[in-house]
Amino acid sequence: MLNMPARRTDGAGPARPASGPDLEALLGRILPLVWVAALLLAIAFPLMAMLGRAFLAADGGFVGLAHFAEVAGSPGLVRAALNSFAVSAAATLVVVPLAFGFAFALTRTATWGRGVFRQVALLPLLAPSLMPAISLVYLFGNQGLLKDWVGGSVYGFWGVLAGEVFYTFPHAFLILATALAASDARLAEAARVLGAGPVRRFFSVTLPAARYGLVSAALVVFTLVVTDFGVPKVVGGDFNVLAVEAFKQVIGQQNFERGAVVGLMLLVPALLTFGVERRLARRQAAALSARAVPFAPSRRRGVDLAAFAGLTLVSFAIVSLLAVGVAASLLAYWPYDLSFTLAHYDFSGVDGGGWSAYVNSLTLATASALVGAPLVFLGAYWTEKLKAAAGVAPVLRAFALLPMAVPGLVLGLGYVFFFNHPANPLRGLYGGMALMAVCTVAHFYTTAHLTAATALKQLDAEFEAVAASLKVPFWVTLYRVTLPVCTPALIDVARFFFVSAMTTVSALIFLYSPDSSVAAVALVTMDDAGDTAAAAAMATLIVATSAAVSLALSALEGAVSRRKARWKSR
Amino acid sequence: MKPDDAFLSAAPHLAVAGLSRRYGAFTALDDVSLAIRKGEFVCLLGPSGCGKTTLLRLVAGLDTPDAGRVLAHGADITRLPPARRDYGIVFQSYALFPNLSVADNIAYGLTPRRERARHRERVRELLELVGLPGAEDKYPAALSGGQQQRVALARALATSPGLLLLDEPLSALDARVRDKLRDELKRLQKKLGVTTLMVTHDQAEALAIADRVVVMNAGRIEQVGTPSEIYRQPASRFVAEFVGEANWLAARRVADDVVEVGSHRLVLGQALPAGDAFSLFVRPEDVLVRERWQAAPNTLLARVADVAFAGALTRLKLAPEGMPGVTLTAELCPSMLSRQTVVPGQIVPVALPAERLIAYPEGARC
Repeated sequence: MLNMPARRTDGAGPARPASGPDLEALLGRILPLVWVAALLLAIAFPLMAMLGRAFLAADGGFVGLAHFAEVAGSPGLVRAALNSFAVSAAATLVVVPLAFGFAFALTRTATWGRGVFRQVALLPLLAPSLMPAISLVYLFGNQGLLKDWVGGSVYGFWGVLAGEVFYTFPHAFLILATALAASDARLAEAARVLGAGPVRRFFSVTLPAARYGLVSAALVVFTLVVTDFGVPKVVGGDFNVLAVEAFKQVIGQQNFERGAVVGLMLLVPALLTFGVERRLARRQAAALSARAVPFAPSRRRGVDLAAFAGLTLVSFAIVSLLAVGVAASLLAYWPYDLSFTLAHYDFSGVDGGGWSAYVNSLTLATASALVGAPLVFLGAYWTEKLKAAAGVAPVLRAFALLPMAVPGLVLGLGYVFFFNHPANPLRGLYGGMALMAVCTVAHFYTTAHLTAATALKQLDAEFEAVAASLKVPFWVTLYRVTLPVCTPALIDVARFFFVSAMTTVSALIFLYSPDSSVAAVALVTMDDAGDTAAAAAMATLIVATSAAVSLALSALEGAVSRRKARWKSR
Repeated sequence: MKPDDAFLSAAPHLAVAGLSRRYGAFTALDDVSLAIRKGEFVCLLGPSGCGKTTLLRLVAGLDTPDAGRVLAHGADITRLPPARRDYGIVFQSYALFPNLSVADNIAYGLTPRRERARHRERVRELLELVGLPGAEDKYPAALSGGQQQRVALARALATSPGLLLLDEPLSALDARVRDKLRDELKRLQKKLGVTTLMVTHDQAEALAIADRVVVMNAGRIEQVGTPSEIYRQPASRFVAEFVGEANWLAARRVADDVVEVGSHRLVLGQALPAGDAFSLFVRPEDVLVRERWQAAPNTLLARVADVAFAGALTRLKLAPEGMPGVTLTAELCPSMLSRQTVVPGQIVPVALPAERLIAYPEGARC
């Protein structure tokens, strides 16, 4: 029958004689180190270059805090810092309650069209941050349609605030929706049985459960606004902020030392909020037990109507800010000649690169998605699953988290200092698309890594152990089991990279050359030159492309999931 | 010093010597030595955190010890990667690959992969062996827990390993399925003669299935023995408490083999260990309820406090006279009860056989 006894007698001795070097162990040790080296090059070294620049004179001599003293002594920069702080604080105070209300209405009431409202809330993610700013100019600018509605000019504090609220809303919403969705229905039930009214239930159960989410949303919004460059560039006017100042110092005045100092000023709050946020995220996860019962809202007509009204109002604002930009790109001369035209999509008469910039964007986004997704997935695989990499895993994990703490603007500055340094053998890459792709993948590495790592953690921890006992090398299991099971997460990561690469400006603005300009950077150039309609057209192209690719990848994900259903269902 | 062939063949199939593993300040395994003979079924038994899973993972090469050695047939395999060892493993979670069919799961370790026909035959054989004939094309999610466990077992046995490692293989199953699978596992192991090391926290499972049981606590081995040795002669107070039910009576030394409990003197079958204060151990089934009083050593009167029906047995709570505050649990079989009715409040004679009493030094509590 079974040939087991025969096999066991000849197997008297260790299972297999050691035959040559162990390729599996060798690869397991080397590959994670390759990832560490890549992340060092793409993130750590540029940051260190920036740090160095902040403390060194132009000729390389150490000057200590001289550059900082100089910055502290220049009234313009101090005012920019104060402005940055003011508008970030204001945006946080507006966005967090707004997003909380929106998320609350979606997760805690049985109102109508929740799926649609959720998608609307996420729409701003598809647009570069300059898009709402351009729309604001069309609505409330000097020739704005609704100019009379606002007392003064849209250029300045209020314009920046409005643009940033639009831009950061989905980020806060996602965090708060997760925090609210994760609360335990059993607690609310217990409170009700004990006779607590709706107000008391809200303050004693709902709010405490979401408090980590609230703090982390506030920190994320604050950091995003402090480091955002797009909105203040377009509607800032005389209202100068740090992010724009860094750009002006480095690109406009070639004052690298000052740029480095401003970059550091942006990095410090980002690092601080990042540290606090990570700690809170861990506690948030611990707050929810595996046995929690998800909250299922029931129909209460009055509450649901109120929720519907609120959701509609916010959604209307979001959609209209997008729609105005789209409309302006299709109308001859907003707001005077409202006839339909595609003339603004002929970019031949304007600066910024036009269609070639758009094609560059597509190339960059595709490259980031196709290279970034496998790269991130393998990196996460080393940290989560590879036993041979256990020693390197903590280092790799730390490097994977670092990019989230580094604003794009700061990363871009670091790239200028590091890759454009005369002594750097990689200097040839500067100004090229390859380096821009590297920078984009590095910039968005953390979120992608966390998505992949979460998916990997959901797999049985013993797959690799079983495979090893069956003498199957890890790459076979990776290919036959891990990858197929994680395909949806992989597609998710690819979509994230694509959309991020389409919409980001902050790092790329320092890296492009005239040949490698991308659409989002072209927006800045066009807006600078006063070609607002062309900018609106380019912004519309970006949104349309992001949306189309998102939809296509969602469909692909759906198809994959349906195939998966074959082995998931009984 | 090269071991000669005679030594090799005499060497146990698997041995660990002085194995230690620490995680930071926590010592998971503390200087553990154990030898397993070829074809033996050995259970590692202990509460969670006692080091039994750590020991299994060290044997599997999934973890590396801080000190000590793992030997297979006398050869040192302590540092060998799992793929160079010779074992199959089944985990509590089954760890079946969800995207592969049952057949592909079982054939996962079969080489070379192109010999599909041969593998198909082997898979069919194995599925028959584990009692799941015809399940080749199903996916793991379509199987019940017990069925998944059988597939995991078939996969572990597919490459005919010399050693089978089982990590709490039955813990995730319903009680009824667990008992059935337990018996089948034992039958299969005997049939194939594969040396087996199983981790479990369920003492009933360990006693029922193993040739030898290794009771572990706090990273150390408390006792190694056959199930009946473990149950009848627990080597330590920990083993006595962990395995089976027991009565514990506070006792003082009177003579070399006599203790005093309350106002009663009890004779023991063997000499007392050193010390003056003891915990006296007696299994509930060894507390004998007599039909009528007969003056004899180790016999006393007790009032029946409670009678609880427990299926095959009836459990009595007894309050012995002259032992204030002490409650004895006794288990009576139906045949005994048919000769004699017992009702709460009744006074019954009770005998505690000397050879069934074991004294453990007080203060050596775990």
